[in-house]
Formats: sequence, structure tokens, C-alpha cells
Amino acid sequence: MFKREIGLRSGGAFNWFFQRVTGAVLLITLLIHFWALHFFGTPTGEITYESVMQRLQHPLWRGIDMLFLVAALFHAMNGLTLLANDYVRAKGWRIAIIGSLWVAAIFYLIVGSLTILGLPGGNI
Amino acid sequence: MHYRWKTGMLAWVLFRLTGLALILYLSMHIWVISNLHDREKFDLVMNFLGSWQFRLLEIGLFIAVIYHALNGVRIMIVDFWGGAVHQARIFWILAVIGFILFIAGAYPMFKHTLHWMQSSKGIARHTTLVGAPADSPFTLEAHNV
Repeated sequence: MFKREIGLRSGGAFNWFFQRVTGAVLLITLLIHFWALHFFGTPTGEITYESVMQRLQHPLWRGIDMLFLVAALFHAMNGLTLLANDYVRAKGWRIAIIGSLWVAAIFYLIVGSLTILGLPGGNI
Repeated sequence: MHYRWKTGMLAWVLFRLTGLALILYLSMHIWVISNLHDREKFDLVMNFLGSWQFRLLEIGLFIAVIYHALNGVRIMIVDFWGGAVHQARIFWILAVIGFILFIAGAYPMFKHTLHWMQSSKGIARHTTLVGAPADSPFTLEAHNV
């Protein structure tokens, strides 16, 4: 049917399906993220330390941000995996690249989670 | 199935390119945000990112996000709901939605940029942060606003 689909299928049905699932999740979380940063908080829409910390005191916001982080990282790394599948012909290189991409994804997941979950709590 | 090679190919290449750009942004974003735990660093970084150059880049980012998101929606419609038959109509509907989203989102972004540039805080911040000497063209520009 489509060339694009052939490329995607080479990445496996799991990747194909979850790229769409995380894409749909990102559509919603990104809208929330955008709204939160530009319309929530200070009247001028300026992003201040207080406005961010106040928002992130609520567990729901931390949950949304964690979901956003996980979905974005999966979507990004899965997308790069698809690119590697399409453009990197040599199997050894492909495995090495995809492997290091996932290592990078886990590293960013740790860094991002520490940021969201490790924010100072209490009185801001 | 007929594949519209030229427009379809362009849409597909742009989809991959915007995807790559967004990944680049995401990796920088996570890294920058990890520095924001204490207020001083937060203010320093945010002042730097609040400069008009970054605001313009932010609008570019916004365009990439809108394109990537809506083309993703188009792909999902085609894959899950057999939207291939209505390709052309879906494309134009999504293009209109994208334009509206851009106006709705870019308006506050531009407004903030203007607000920031006009505020004395913004000017003061800029000169101290960028470290531009008082007679540099950049500083003059900021004062002329």
C-alpha cells in the first residue's frame, strides 16, 4: 500500500502500534503542557519559579508530566528506531545504533524523572 | 491504491525532519529543565531563554509541533479509519485546524515577547545576562523598543 507502512512494519507491529498510541497521548499531554505554560499561572503568562513550583506541588500535575515524559521519550526513540531500520542497512550497525538509542532514552528518563519527582515540596 | 507521490513524499519527508527537530529539542529541554531546581539557576536560565531570539525559535518549534501532530493525526485517520478515500478533504481540514492553532498559540507568544521587550525588566535582564556592552547594537535595539 504505502511505502511508509512497509518501513514501519519492518520495525514490528508493536512499534507501529505504540507509535500511534503514544502519538495520541502526546497530542493530549502536549495541549495540556502548552496551555499550562502559556495560560496558567501569572496574568502576563510569564513563567516564573513560583508559578512552576506551585503548579507542580499537585500530584496530578506531576503525574501528567511523567506521562508526558514517558510518552515523548518512547515516541522519540521509537521514531529514531524506525529511521534506523529504514536507513541503516548493515545489521550490526543497526543493532548498535538502536541499542544506544534506548540507553540514551533510559538516561533521559532518569534525568527527567528526577526533575519532576525531585522538585522541592512544601511551602513555596 | 494510488499514491500521490509528490505531495505525499513531501509530507513524509517533512514529517521525519520535524520529528528529528523535535527530538533534538526534547533532549535539550530535559537537560535544561534538570537545572531548574533552585531559584537562582531557574531565573538565570529562563532569562537567557526569554530573549527574543529564543522566542522566535520557540515559534518555529510551535510550527514544527503543529505540523508533526496534525500529520500524525492524518496518518492515524488513514491507518485506523480508512481515511485514504477522503485524503484530500482531510488534508485541507487539518490544514485549517493547524492554521487556527498557530494563530491561537502564536498570539500569546508574540504578546509575551512584546511585553517582555517593553518591560524594563526585560531590557535590564538582557544586558546583564548577555553581557552586551551598553554601546552594542543589540542593547540599542532593546532600548529603542
